[in-house]
Amino acid sequence: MSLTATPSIFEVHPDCEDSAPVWLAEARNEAWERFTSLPMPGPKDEPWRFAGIRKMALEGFGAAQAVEGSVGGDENAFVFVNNRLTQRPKPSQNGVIVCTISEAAEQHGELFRRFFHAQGAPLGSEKFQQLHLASKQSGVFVFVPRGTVVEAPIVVEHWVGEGAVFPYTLVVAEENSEVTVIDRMRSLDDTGAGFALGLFDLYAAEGAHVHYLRSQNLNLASRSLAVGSSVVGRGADVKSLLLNLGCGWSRNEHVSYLNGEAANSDMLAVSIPTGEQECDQRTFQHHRAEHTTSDLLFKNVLYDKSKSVFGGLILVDEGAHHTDAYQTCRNLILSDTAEAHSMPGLEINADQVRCSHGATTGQIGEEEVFYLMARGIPGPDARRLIALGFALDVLEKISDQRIQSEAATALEAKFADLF
Amino acid sequence: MSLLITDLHAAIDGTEILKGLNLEVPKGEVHAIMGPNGSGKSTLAKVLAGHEDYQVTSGSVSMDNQDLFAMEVDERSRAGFFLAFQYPAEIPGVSNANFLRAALQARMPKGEDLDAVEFYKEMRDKMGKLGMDQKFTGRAVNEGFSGGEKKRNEILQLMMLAPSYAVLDETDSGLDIDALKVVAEGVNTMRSPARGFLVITHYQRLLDYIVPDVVHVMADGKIVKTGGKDLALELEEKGYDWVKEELVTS
Repeated sequence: MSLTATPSIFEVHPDCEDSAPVWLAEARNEAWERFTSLPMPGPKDEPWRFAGIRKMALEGFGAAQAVEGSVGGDENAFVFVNNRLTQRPKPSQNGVIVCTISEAAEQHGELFRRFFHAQGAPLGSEKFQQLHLASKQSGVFVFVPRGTVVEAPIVVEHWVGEGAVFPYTLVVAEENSEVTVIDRMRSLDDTGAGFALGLFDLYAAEGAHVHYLRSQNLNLASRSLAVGSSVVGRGADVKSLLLNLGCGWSRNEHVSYLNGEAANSDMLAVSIPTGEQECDQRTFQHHRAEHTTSDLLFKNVLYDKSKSVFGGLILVDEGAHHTDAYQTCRNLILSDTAEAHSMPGLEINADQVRCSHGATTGQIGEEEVFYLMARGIPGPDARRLIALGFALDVLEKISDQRIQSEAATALEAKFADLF
Repeated sequence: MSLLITDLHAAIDGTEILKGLNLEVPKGEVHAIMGPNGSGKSTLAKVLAGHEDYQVTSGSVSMDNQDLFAMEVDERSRAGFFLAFQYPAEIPGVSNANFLRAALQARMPKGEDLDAVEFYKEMRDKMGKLGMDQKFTGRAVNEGFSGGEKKRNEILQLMMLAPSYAVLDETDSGLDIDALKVVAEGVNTMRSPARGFLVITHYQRLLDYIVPDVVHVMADGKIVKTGGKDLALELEEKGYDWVKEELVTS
């Protein structure tokens, strides 16, 4: 897909940074070996059921090249352009580590290594996760020490032109700390075909709170694959929201591990595919301890010939009694030619659990449209308002006001462009 | 100037419900329609608003000499027609404030924006008059509202949109006496020489608080009797069978 002459990311092992520690260089070499030996996933593999494998067409992407000039991103953000740091915000609070992934490898070796790429990719993308590990990553490492509340959100912008980038957001919140992280994925222009192969790992130790937004709005020529995890300790809480607004093809794989008693994970997502966009999401809520809770709500609003795929599994381990786990995928279809595939799943090996999973697919209710029109709102505006409302409804579950307002603004802007 | 309904026939799924209804509500007056269940009262309300489930088979409705049936649902509203719904729809995720803003914005000339500050001030003021908590500005339209809250919300919309003609469909149903008084008071403050009301109700009770100028009795898709406000009391006393019997004997 890349129009430049750069070799495919599938064929050439990227050079390691000279400054990288030996363990990382070795890990990258091993990862490259595994990447090349693992087969490409195909439509017959269960984790890739219904996936538009042909739309992925990832083999053609070369590594994104450096570009001239600046993009004028958010001055309070870490800004990466084509996988390279171009701007950093003012240093954050004392004691809190916020640095790039390569700086973390150099400066926080042992600490960083414990968490770096530690979660694998159990939902189908191991091959790509290995490619990510083998590559030079952009993105940030956030470490919040015990009892620290980071006041300002940590914002990261990834600007993507032609070619592949490898963003990584690694957040480690120690006991009773709290932090909010916002990732923005943006294209440099409307036509450059980019591929963002990204990871996010969110660790919340006992009593910690992590709030996370990943707002993906790449251009339609681009692809995005994100492999993420929420690893939640005793009494801790991770709330994540994934917004999928752009990309011709995008896929998120998100795993939550509820490892300690009374751990909670909220997994939220809103996707608004239009045209021929395809949005594929696979999830796993793994309850490993008693009294843990998880709540997943994924909503898709589908226009035109777009397609969504949702595959989810709740697994309650033996002994994880008194688990509350919910999984809901709701599709709102606004055209006769859009497709929504939902595969909710549940496996319970403990007693006294409350679990529910379900998927709904529907259209805008005519009574709702009639009601709004009866107040003078023209039909197309009424439908847009209802569809926007369907999407905004997810934000009711978000406690972090900054994430809520950024997501609301992004959704409103998306719908303003529709019809 | 009036809302003039002439020989209106309307059907749903081929079954005729309105069978030649005639009615005129002049501006400045409050008319009530009473009638037994199944007489077609709510059908009339929905036909006037333009609900697509109902087919108008003949007859006409003119609103200040404009042909109501030549207009789409939203155009009727912008032209000054208002229906307070018996069962208002719930719209998840759309806040009451955004909904009302969209409705008012739709009435603005092209290229002009509603004054947001003025809008919120007016809305808060009117909510205060209806005894509605300010939190209803941010709550999704009617979602999880009690029956009484929904009806207050209908009257809030009536007050914000200030129509020329308002039809209130069973606005009293599901209201306790306190809520009924508040809602009636809201309607009464909107009474004006520039506005006509058609109040549809099954029970006389509402008309103690919204005192009508004219009372019509509807049965089997037609207006069968018209009188002053005392007619409502008479109906309450004698029941609808009395009208039906009178019809048979006439």
